Amino acid sequence: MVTQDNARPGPRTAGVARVLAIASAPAGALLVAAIPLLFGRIDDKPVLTLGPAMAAVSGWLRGLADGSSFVYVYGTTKWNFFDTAPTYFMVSFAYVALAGSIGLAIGTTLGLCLRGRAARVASSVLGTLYAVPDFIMAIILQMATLLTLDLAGFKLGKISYDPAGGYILALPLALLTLYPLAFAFRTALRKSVEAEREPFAVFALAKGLSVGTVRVRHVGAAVIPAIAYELPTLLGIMQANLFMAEYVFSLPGITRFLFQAAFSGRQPGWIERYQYSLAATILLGLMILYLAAWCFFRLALSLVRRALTGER
Amino acid sequence: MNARLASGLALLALLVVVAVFPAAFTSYPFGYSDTMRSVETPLGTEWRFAPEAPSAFYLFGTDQYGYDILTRIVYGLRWTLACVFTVAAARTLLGGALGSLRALMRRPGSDSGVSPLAGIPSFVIAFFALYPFTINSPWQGWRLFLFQCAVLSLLDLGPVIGATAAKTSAVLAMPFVEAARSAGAGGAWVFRRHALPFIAEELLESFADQTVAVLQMVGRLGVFMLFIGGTAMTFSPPLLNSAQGEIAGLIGLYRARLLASRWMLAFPLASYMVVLLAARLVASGLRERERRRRRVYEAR
Repeated sequence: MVTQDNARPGPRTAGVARVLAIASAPAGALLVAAIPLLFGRIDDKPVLTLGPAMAAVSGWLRGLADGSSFVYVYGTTKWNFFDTAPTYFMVSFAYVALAGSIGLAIGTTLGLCLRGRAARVASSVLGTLYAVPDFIMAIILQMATLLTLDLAGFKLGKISYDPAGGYILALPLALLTLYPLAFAFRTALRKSVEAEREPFAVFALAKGLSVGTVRVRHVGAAVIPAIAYELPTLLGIMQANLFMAEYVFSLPGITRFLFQAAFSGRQPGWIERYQYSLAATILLGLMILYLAAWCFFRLALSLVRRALTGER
Repeated sequence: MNARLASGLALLALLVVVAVFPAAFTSYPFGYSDTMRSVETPLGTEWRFAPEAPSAFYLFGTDQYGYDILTRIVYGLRWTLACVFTVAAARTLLGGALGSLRALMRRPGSDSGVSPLAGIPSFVIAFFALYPFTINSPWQGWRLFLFQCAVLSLLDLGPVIGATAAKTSAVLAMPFVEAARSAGAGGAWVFRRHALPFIAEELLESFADQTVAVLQMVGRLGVFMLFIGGTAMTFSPPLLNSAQGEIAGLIGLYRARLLASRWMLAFPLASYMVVLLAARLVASGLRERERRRRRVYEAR
């Protein structure tokens, strides 16, 4: 009889499957970008047309040789993706890295330190905030800022990006910090409560180490791998949050650029000016952003764990 | 029934009543617009122009085209609820079926870890798929609505499939299932009589969770001007409108009026929050019910 355990793939098979999944992901991005081209109109009725989508994908692949895949039109001017996009990527990455680092640091610290009633209150407050969708939270932050400015009598305030100011704004940073903070708090609290009951933590306390030292050096070190394990999920949430933050606060990031430039020709009726090559390139860029953020946080968490345990 | 589940169901029932009988909750018909009206005051005739702030005449005010916001919300609510329930039900049934099948084929799946495709949120894929059809769509009303629901139903199936597969696998590994198999029960019998009652509970919880997830996705699409029921857009003159007034879409539509006419955004936002609250209460109440049942079961 085949059991559940022997039906599972071995580590080697799983590793190969993961490499294949990563290698085939760019094809996924090219296909997602081609979705709007899958349908045409005949007699004002939508019909499935594979031709334009396949032509766009093959055109993009052919354009890799001469670089034409990376040329796009914005307004009436032709631009090269590599001339303009690095700044957008840097802004997006800065927000993910900064907000994620702040959120993970505060959330993990709270999860490690708070117990009893304080933990229940924090859990309830953060759970409620986490339940509010990102776009609603963004609008609430803007509304609250406007109300505060009105009440304080200030006539001028900034609730979205303008080119005259800096790239890092308080409101989108607060929005993007909230979700990793709540996520890290929940994970850290659950894992640290479990770890406190483990023999290694009980033994350390019995040997006379202080509660604070055990929490940091023993329990903290056990919490970090749990957060690292949850990173793919957290980064997926943060990518979605990034779309909302950049769009609502008009940040010059890569996700806003997708809607601003690739879909710039919102014509009444149809999408004659949809720029497939730009959309495909940005989607590939989003994957790179996701992987870069994953590497960044894995490295950061690994360094934190080493600092906590004193391992080299 | 616990308090959260009871209050969530009561709130949801109230919302369904509003959605089914919108005319009972507003004085104006669907699509009513009033860009200019005269009011007799002691000082003489006074002219009021859209957008009008909330008053006794228009409780939630009007928008820049003279549409009564209250009327838009009560008529739009049916689209919101219909979309949320249809997509959540479709995802639960489809995901539940695929998850059960995976477990029965003894492929419960494993955590795939980091995948670059996770860098593209599902609402972005929904945007790409719905964009050609939603803006000035050749399809109107229910036809477009069903297409939008079908697209949204096919996204985010992974968590439902995974949860159902895990639950089914766990049930199939239980001693009473082994006992039934030893007594000669076939696969179909075991699934129908032993696994399904447990999976049904899981699916009910999953359905409630999906209502929340769908509400979020519909809201996100609304921010990018893709409205359930269709987006009407012209460039000359520049006009943008939600064809059916679905309330998550109204938030996206009126977001730009945050500085000048806050009521236009505040009331749809509050309505959306009420729907979200109802869905969250039901989801959380169902989980609480399951926890209590498990405690009772373990105590025995």
